[in-house]
Amino acid sequence: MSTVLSARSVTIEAATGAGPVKLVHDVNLDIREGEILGLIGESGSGKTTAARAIVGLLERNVRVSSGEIALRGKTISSPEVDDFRNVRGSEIGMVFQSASMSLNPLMKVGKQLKEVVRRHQRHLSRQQITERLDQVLRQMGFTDPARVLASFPHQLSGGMRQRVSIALAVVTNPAVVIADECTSALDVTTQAEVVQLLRSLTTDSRTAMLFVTHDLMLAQDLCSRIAVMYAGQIIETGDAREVVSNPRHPYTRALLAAIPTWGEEEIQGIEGSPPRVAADWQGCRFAPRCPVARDECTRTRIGWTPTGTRSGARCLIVEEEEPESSGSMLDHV
Amino acid sequence: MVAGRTILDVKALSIVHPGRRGKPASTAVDGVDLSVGAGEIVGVVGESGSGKTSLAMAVLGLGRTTSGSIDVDGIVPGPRLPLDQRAAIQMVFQDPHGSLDPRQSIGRGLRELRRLHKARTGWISDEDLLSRVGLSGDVLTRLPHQISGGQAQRVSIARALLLRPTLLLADEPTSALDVSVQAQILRLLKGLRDEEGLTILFISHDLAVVRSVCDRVYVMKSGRVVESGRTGEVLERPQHPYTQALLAAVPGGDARIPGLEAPAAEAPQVLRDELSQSRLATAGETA
Repeated sequence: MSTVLSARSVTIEAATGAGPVKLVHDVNLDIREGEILGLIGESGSGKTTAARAIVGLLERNVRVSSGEIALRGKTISSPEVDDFRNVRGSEIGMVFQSASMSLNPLMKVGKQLKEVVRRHQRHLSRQQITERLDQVLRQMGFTDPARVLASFPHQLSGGMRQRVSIALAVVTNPAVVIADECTSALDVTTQAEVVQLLRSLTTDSRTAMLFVTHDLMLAQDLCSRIAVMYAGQIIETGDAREVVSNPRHPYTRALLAAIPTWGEEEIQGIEGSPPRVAADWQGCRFAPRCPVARDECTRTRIGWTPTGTRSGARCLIVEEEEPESSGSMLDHV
Repeated sequence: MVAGRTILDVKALSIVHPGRRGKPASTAVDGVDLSVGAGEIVGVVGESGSGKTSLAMAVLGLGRTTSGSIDVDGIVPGPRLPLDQRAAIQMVFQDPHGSLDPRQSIGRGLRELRRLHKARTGWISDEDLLSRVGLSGDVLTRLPHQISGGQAQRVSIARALLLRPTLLLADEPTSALDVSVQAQILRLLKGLRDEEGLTILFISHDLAVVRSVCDRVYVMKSGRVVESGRTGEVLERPQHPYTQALLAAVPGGDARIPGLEAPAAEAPQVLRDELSQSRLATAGETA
């Protein structure tokens, strides 16, 4: 399986009145063909910023200050690649949280889909475009594509609208789909439908997917691998089931303990709140809230400790538990 | 746990929203019976459009009712209730920042409540009130944008507590919060019930949250209560197909719900098909 999308030591900074602050620090990711990587984090952890950097949709005052994002080995994050329009939409598709925000309310679904195909696949004839739209809507679980094509977004239910916006993202057969909280606004049963759809999309079309979410349990269901973010850094990665059943980083453990379970045990909140954005910092960002933190946690630079071929954590305690590792390898995921 | 007296008693409640511009009227709540005993936390779960918010608005006296009755410890909620009786039913909303005045400091907001409800609010100082919800007196001088979402939700709960409500309505009180903060708020509500006997009607779409705080639960679908009972029983041995489908759709269900074997999305596939078809059919009518 080849790597489709990779991020190497990506740091993202925002310019503010008080100087630059780091929103995302030293992020490494690899997504292979047909793989779904779950990017997990709470509000403000930098997960959406990281995802937006990949599609080149950062705010004006925010930029990738170091590191590299590459699509099939070709850099797409450097300032010279300013023509993102040819990459976005054809090579990378994006699905947002709110379908009603990503669809034009004044345009029928058919016209919106056609617009994307015409922009990126000019060689297709009218007949071929019609066939492609029919095919993509059937893939999205619609039994009567013609009716959907002739509908305005407001004439569809929330779940149908979200499936249409996924169709918009995948109609050009992109190599990667970035889905940012794309099921969070849906009811659970509708969410289950959309999740099923995303799963079949990656197995059938071999699309690589970055699934950004705050919901660790949802990520465990859908994703092959998980990367957990805290305060702008990836603090743990690994096989999805493995991370949930055997979390290594204290933050991942705390996060799991905070999720209401079905048993009788009390749920545990995490005391305190995440640190504010800063220009730079020393030590572990979770240390002030960490139940097992020691003095050195706030003083030393915390390296990455591989715990398997494609898993690891950013924690001194994990480093001690893994005797062979040096704690300095950069190749995270 | 209906050992104490009944605080909220809803009988055969129906709410029909009249159709506008030639559209047919829609029934939001359809013959609902529901009760909450003193010191109980009772959950109402359902998806969008199930009628749970229409029900809450009616209990609060803000929404219309078409037939049936609502009784909150001898008070019949409605828009013309005297100020003191209105204060007996308090509400905590989903978006904590949305329910606080952005230009009013937390302390000034509390002073306003004390001025309006002199007789009800003399029982506790601001500092003691805030410490009951786990906040320090420092927040009194802050404006809502200067505190976090979790802190703002604690302030909303404190504001409700100040008026010594006989019933607290919590409509999705943790849905806008991060999971680590959600856990703190759920513990707080549970603690207030355990220590002060607060009575809570807890509206949520999240079955796991309801499972962790509610004594009893009502499952609503299309305006009707399809199943009710003790939370443990309803969620562990669901009888109604809709409750079963809801449970099957909970992310990580197989890991979190004992006895549910198949991975969530694959679970009762027949039911999910049925559900999605009914949804497609309804959408088809408008399309």
